[in-house]
Amino acid sequence: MSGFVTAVASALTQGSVIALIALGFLLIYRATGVVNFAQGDLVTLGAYISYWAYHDLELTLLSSWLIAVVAMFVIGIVLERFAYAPIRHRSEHTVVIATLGAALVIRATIAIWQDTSPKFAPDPFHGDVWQLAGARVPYQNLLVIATTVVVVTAILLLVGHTPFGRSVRALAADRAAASLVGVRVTRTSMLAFGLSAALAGLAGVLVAPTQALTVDLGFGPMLFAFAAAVLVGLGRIGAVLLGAVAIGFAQYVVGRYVAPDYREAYPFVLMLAVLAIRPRGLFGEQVGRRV
Amino acid sequence: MLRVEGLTVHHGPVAAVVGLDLEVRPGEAVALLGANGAGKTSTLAAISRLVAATSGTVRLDGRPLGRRGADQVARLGLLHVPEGRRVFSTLTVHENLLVAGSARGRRGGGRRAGRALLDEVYDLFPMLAALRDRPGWALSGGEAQMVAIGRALMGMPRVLLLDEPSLGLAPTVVDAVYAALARIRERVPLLLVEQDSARAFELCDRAYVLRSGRLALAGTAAGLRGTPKLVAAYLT
Amino acid sequence: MSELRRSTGRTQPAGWAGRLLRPSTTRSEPSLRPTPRARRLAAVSLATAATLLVAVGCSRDTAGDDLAPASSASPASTAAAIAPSKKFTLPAPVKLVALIGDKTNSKDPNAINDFNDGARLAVEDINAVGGIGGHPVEFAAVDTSPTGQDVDNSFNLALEQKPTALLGPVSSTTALALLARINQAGVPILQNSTDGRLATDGPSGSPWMFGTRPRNDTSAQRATEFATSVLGAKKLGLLRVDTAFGQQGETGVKAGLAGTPLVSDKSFAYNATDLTGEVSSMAQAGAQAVIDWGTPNTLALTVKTFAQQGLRDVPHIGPGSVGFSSFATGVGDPALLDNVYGAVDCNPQDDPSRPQVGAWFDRFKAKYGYTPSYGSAELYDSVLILREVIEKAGSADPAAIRDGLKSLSGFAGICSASYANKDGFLISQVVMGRYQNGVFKTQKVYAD
Ligand SMILES: Nc1ncnc2c1ncn2[C@@H]1O[C@H](COP(=O)(O)OP(=O)(O)OP(=O)(O)O)[C@@H](O)[C@H]1O
Ligand SMILES: [Mg+2]
Repeated sequence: MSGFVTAVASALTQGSVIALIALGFLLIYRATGVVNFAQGDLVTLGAYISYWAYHDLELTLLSSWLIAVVAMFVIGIVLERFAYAPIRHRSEHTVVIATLGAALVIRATIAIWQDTSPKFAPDPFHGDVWQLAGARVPYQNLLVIATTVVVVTAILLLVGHTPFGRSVRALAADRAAASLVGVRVTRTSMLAFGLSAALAGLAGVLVAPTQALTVDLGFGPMLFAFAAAVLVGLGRIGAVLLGAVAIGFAQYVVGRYVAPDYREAYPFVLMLAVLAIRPRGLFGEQVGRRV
Repeated sequence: MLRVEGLTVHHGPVAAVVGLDLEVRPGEAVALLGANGAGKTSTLAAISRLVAATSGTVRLDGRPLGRRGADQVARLGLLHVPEGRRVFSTLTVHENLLVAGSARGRRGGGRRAGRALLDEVYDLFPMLAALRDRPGWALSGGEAQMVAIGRALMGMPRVLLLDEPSLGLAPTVVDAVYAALARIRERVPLLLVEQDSARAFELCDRAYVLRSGRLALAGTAAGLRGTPKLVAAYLT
Repeated sequence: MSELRRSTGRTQPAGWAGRLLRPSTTRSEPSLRPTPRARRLAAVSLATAATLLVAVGCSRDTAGDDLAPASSASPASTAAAIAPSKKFTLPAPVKLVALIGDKTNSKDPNAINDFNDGARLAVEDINAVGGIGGHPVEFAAVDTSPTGQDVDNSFNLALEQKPTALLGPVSSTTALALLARINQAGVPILQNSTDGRLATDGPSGSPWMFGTRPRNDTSAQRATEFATSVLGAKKLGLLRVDTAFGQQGETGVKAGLAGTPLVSDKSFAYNATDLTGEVSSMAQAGAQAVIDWGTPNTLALTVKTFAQQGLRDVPHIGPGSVGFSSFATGVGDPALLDNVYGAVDCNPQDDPSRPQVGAWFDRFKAKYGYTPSYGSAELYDSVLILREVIEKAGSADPAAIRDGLKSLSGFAGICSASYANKDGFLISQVVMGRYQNGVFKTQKVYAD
């Protein structure tokens, strides 16, 4: 029983992290049509900024998290201006490769700035755990899950019911027509990059304390997030939460009982299985139009 | 109002429009006619910056548009209802109209103005009021055309470009669309691309006829209507 | 462009809805006021600045004095660190090339300077007492990464420098990939991986290659013996990464069990991010000590998970990478390391039986500003071993060096007091250490 509870807690935590990352890159994808492969390294960068703010600037933990999220918002905008805006009229392949390039630059920068030995990011609960049916679930994991629920709700409201959200959806539905009705393409894309990087930063500061902080922190989860987004059909922001949790469960609950050695591959197995049955993803209408 | 000089548009190696001059004066409705592939859509797209022109200038109120992007041009009040309506499929009718309010930019557009404009659009197309919450993908061709026009109106156009608003619609629906255009025409100068020249001559003061991307004929609607054979020769 | 904007701002909107939208107030000259965009930008910047200020305002009291700079090196002792070089003449200088990247220029994200700095110190020491064969020793480092074309490329770069001998690589993947090239090049190489397959008589052995680290399976075997005989564990758990490294660890553990039951044996991917299930199953199986043959990243993760899962009292025994100072620094909180052990090759920071090791440790730390690892000591020793072999043979001929290494025995170095060749590995000593207040302390030395 306690083993099952542990597995479910791991699955939900993983699902939350994946959801936060997937949300970030869906936001950019919908606003600009670009799949941002730097999303994972933005997660890592956010975590390192807070680590640095905590250890070197000696801020309180929560301030260091706040700083990281705000800084990531700004970095997202900078990324948009310097890595995306200059080439956005080029083919999508060019842009996607540019985001990969940005990812490598970010990672190399982190490695030089903070070396590559694994670090421990502290959590506000000092590693305390919640004892549930014999399992020990770190409070930090519960914080990750709770924050994700709040943030996903907020993003859904933002996209569903605000002018910014309408602009994003209009751009996603038809970029050309959106510009013909005056949708502020540049501003929306900057905001989308900013918000998405802030989401990445949030994911980073939250997830780092649940594991070891390394330069690979965000990269693996980003691939899973990609699988989650494809799984449900790129485009649906609400559904991606479902995809993310499904992947978390495949990895940690199924992976606990079936071939645990291979569980890091489960997200992709699940994705391929779903795509084989439903090429457009579980809820997708428009996979394949882009990417 | 709108003046186009020496407009040349290429799609890759294909020259779609060559050295076109045209003008829309205040208070005027102008038709742009031509056979399939004559370059009508390319002309509108170049004016609204949906595609980049190879050369030529477009002036609004005498000022060149410079290097603005399509969304900036729209916010200046030069609004383009594209061929095939291009309604946002995942947005409801109402959201389609709301998002188009962006085009008012800072030319005017507090919330109150937006609401008044919405009322006017629903007043112009009463059908849409009942469809407010229907998503774009579920609209018929005629409904979508109304949304597309209504959307442009939400941006307080100073000049309105329309690309084949009657395309693929039943005659009764075309009547409804043209009735609305007749009302719009009283306030906003129009540049109308149309296959159906009879409809166009009814609505417009003047017309340009394109052939293979070049200006072939120009004149008043009344004058061109008087030479149906000549016009027909260019339109087929 | 601003002209057009300005005019549209000032005039009553023409066109559609113009009649609806009378200007409610007369606008002042727009150019004299910040544009809405500028205002918004200013607002955003202000908000950002404010957040930053608030956050900085909450800054914890700075302790301050723990940031004192590392004491600048004590005045260089005038006495030579090593025995003087033998007087003989080589036709050309000895050139050593390390196939090891430094942290700042490596493609390997886990690169550290420990290895190359050890070699650099040795080269400096040798050159201070006359070099080898009448010339100063030359040293260069070439980065290698464990992937395809890149490995070949770095090997070519190394060969272009006409090395007398090669040092490294530190990764077994790289060493395995280079095997054919090494045999073909015919240059002696002192490699730093622990992979038993590289033994001279092993499946991937080469007469030109000698290891300067103990074999991985030997270390795991010693760790197991230590857990049962010194720590007295009656039931053992095993965590291991699912690579060759982890498999060799498992082989070693099984060889060292001597009847003690292995109550839980879990493997995981090198990039695992959540090992709660694996760690808690160690507790459920009642393991009294856990051998954890993981990578530095998974080890950092399990150290944290041990604490969270209430396993702080269970000895947690890792491979050599646990002993690196960068590992302890990364973990940060010394309390988390209280029950963490490592099977290292040697522990230069705590070797009370040999005072020369302590002196070397101090010199290294003063010079490079960090705690040297066994890797530093081994590279230092490698260079001195090469000096001894070349001086004995009176030649820097590759075959002479190879034969000298093959018959090496009883060489007293910093890492091991008695290097000797055993099937292509020059060292088989394993030192078990444990963190105490964040310092890695020697518990038991399993000599060669
Ligand atoms: N995207 C494109 N790529 C290549 N060629 C194009 C493209 N769009 C249009 N063309 C070509 O440019 C020419 C003008 O096309 P355009 O669409 O402007 O004509 P049109 O007058 O609007 O025709 P229709 O009445 O069929 O809508 C045609 O020869 C067409 O094939
Ligand atoms: Mg057309």
